[in-house]
Amino acid sequence: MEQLWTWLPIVILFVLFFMRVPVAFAMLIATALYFVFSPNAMNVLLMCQKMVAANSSFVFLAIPFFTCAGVIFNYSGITHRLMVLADMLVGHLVGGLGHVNIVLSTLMGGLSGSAIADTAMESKMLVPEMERMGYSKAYSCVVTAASACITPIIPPGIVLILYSTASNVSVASMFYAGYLPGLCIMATLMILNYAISKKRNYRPSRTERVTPREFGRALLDAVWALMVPFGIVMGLRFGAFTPTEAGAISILYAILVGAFIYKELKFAHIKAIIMESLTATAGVMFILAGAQALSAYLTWERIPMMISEAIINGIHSPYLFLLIVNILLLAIGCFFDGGAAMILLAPLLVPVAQSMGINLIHFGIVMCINLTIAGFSPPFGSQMFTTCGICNCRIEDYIRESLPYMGALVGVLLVLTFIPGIVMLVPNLLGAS
Amino acid sequence: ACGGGTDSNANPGGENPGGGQSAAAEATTLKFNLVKSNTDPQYEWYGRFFDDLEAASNGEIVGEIYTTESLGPTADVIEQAALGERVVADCDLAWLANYVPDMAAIMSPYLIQKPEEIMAIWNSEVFQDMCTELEAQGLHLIALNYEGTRNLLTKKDITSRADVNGLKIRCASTTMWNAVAEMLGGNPTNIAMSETYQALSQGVADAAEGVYSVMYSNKWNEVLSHVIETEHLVGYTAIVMSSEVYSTLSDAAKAAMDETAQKYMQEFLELSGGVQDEYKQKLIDAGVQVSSIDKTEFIEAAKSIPDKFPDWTPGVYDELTAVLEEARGNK
Amino acid sequence: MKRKGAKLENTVNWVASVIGGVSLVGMVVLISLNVISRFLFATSFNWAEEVTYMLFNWAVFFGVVVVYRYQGLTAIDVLVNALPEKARRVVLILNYALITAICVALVVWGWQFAMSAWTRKSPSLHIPYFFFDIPIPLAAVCLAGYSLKFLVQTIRGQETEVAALEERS
Ligand code: NA
Ligand code: NA
Repeated sequence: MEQLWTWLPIVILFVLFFMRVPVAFAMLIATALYFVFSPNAMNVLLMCQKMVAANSSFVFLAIPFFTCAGVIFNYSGITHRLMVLADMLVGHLVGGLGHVNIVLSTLMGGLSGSAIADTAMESKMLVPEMERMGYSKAYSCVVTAASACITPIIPPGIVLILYSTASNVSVASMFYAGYLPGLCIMATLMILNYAISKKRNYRPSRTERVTPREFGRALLDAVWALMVPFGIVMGLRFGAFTPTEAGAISILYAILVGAFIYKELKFAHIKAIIMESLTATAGVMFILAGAQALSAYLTWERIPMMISEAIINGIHSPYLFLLIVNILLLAIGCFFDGGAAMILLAPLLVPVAQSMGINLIHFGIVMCINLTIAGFSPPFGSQMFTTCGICNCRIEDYIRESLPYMGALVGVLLVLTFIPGIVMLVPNLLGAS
Repeated sequence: ACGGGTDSNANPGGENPGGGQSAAAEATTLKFNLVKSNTDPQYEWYGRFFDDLEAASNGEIVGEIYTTESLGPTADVIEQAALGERVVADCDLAWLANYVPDMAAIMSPYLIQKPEEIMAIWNSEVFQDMCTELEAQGLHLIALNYEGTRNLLTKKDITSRADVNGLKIRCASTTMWNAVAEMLGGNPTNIAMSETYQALSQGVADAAEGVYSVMYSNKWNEVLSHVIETEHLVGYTAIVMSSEVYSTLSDAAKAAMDETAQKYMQEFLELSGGVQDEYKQKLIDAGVQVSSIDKTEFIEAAKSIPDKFPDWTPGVYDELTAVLEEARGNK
Repeated sequence: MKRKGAKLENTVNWVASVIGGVSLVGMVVLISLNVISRFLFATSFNWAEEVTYMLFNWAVFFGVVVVYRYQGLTAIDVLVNALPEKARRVVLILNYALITAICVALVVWGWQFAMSAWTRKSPSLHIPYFFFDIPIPLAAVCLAGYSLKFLVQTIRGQETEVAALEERS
């Protein structure tokens, strides 16, 4: 009976997913059945405790703020002007807006530590623009979710910090080590975007190059928009405000610019802005609430630990170990948000890695990239749910479009896994290894 | 234990402990939600504690340690215990004030002055009454383990209480911790331990307080640079479980738990005392500036703290003071 | 009879939108005021964070009510869409029945959980955590109502209302 209920909820979960039960409800139902029927389980009331847990973490608090800011950026004309500028910069390239999406996530990496927040914002900001320029919705969502893998790897990143609290590696070393892998992912994704865009004829949006005069006008027009990331960078770098507050300030700023400078934001928009932000936030946070409940069951049954212990037993080659860790984390990361998986698994895996003589900074970066890729990958990645939720993308379309990107991300992961020199270059240069 | 498919088909009635005739009671597995990480010295100590406990109880009590509060935030785990779960919380008395308000009084800054004074409190009638009240709320206090003396950790040097003004001091989300942050002169900001490093590096908080080993093992020294020896609190962690689960243990297991806990309470006094100097040195070696400060202003500010707690039993603070005075006088 | 149901549904939706919307706006206002206050007076308010976290719960769970009215929650519809009409109906009946059941359960458990949190109070304003937790059962009442409606409609062979793609969350 106990044995049965250790695994049955996972089976139930999959069945429910395929019955078109909304993802959040499916997780809640599977967890509830466990709580009610397993002889091992905790008091069922604790499910409710887990459901509100995500809403009391300052990390997740940034989600509604950046979601809301993204909505207002759209209504106030800021996004549009940035797109015009981007169009002038890279519009003549094949797959131009896809490149913008990827580069923007890299830049956002310096501001935000969360792949989900980045996905949420760019799903609001960029996906509609990409669709307008002829990209398929699913492809736009996939580029957004894939490029969001860069954001937590470029410091600051939540998973980088969680790893260093669980191992003995300093956060500074983890941060130095994050830059180059982040840039590697960016370059890889841009090459892939170029290739696919070329094949599909995702045409440049302009045939002629812009005149300096046109470009100057667009630049001037977009200067208020360009100040947003600068403002956020400055504010965060100098500790003036936190990411959540940066979201709040972006909201205020976007309102002021939209209403008084671009004069596109009207009172009539308020209701639509609030409702759009509310429903987008609720959709994402409800899934997180379900995931928190589900992970309570998984943690309670020690399932992630059991799986990894079973696999690790009997492996003695560091290369085989790294390869298996990659596979393991991709699988486990599907069920957890990256942070939770890191907290659970790092204490377990780090001693094994250490005993095999693997550099712990390198190992940490491999773990972090793994967990963010798991967030991108179907069928349960959190970035996937976020972008599909916000953009109303069908998940089966997403899955189809995600395959080449999955291949590219796993390719980078394997290169970074087996050539530690790339990860260690910057920490070595800065003497932090 | 990983079972094969045949095990899942086993008749659950066959495992019914009521039918068994063996003398050994069924093992109770307690999941311990350690707030500290696995690099903290306490991780190893608690590992030994649970090993000893398992041996002393003849295998009736088994402990599993979950580091970095991976079972959930402290408040949630205490609540789980109160609801009858087999979890053990690593908290402090300020958290338990949600169940017995008077317990926060023991956390008053500058009340306890020496680590071993906790034994006087532990054995006092006023404290035992609080524990009885706590049992009625569903919680059983196993031990109060000494952790070290708590100091302030900031980004800049502090020479007077006025310098703390405006600093957002990370603290646990309890009324007493907020009062402590205010006593130190700053604004409290409530953040879970597991999110504190990130909060400090992002400016969500710009100061923290705690014992040296916690500062070091959480790497707060990478984002903060100055320890100010305010010595505002002699810190103890309360080890708490469900009173319902405790009552289901056999008498032998209860005795084993009480004895092992008492033994380790003594051991923590020595272990934590020794290790704090070592971690202070580690912080200094890592480039942290440790400076002492005239505590008069803080002690003065601490005097008004009891006024902020109208829900305390009248006179409880004075009673605790009397217990401590007596203990000091007897020495 | 039918009009009466529609009227109730509109009222529920309006109330949920107002609660969710006001909570969201409240969060933005409180955090913004905290930033401004920190710039101008070098001080911020812990109570504002506390209230923000409370409003977060209200916004999320009532936001879900608004989203679920037209089944706008993320779901995997590939398999169900591929089924023949009859099998599809059976699966959807089971789907709505299970959601109704979990929502009813969440009403009960959520209420008991919120009641158990009466004694725990927030550190700054001493608001009982009851008010942080109560959105779950309240929203679950509305969600149970919606899923029950979808269930009845599917059993009767009527079309259920499904959000336009661009309205899904
Ligand atoms: Na980042
Ligand atoms: Na992107």
